[in-house]
Amino acid sequence: MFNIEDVFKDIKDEGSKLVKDEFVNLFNQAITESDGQVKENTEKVKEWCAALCSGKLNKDEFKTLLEAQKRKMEQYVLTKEIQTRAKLEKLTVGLIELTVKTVLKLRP
Amino acid sequence: MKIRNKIITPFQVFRRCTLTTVLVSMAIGMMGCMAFVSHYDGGSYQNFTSLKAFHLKFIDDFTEAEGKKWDEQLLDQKCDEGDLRFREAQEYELGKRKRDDTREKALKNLHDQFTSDCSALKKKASEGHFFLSPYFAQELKGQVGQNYNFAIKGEESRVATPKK
Repeated sequence: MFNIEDVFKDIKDEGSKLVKDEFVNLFNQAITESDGQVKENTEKVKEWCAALCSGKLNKDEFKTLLEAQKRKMEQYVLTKEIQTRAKLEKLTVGLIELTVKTVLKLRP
Repeated sequence: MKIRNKIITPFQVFRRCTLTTVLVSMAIGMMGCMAFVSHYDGGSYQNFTSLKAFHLKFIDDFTEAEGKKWDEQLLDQKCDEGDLRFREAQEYELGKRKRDDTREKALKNLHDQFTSDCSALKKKASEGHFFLSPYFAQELKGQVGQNYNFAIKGEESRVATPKK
């Protein structure tokens, strides 16, 4: 089975080893993330790393997929923002309209 | 003062007026400060779904398959057609009396993705590698399709979305 550290197996110099450690730490954090979308993305990155190492993907294709994933995540965050703002409107405006309709009528 | 056969004191009138004023002010204040997103728009929803279909078909059309012949003119034509469709959708948003930057950002994101896919195909062709490999195309379609799904979901989350 492919291990994410296999991507760096030929790296010898110290500077690149630091980058590798940072990458592996971030990768392990992301794979245990509770947000399903983040977890799914990380699994995809692992799959693409394996495909890159085996020659199923070339560097350009690998980069294109990562950029497409980044755009998808920007859209995901934007959608979350729309959902939050719409929910807030439904709650606050709905509550105020109901208050005006009911409380003012019921109170003497 | 007599309203609905009940005697209301001036103090009660003052209290009622104050309460109404406070509630109305709160509503106006919230609408202004929180910058709520605009309501559902059937035209925008239609644009997102039709652009999704076009974009995914575009990837299919330029994916390696038996018997397919490379046609550079067709690629240019499809890239131009896609670009026009995105511009039309963006113009539709710009033409609204109340513009919404969340929709504009969503469309720009998708347009950038389409432009990037066109450039990737043209670059590949210039290097002598025609068509997308089936594995790469499948993975790209997965990411692009989800991107559109989020944009469509965003439209469906807005206030006044018709029930399915």
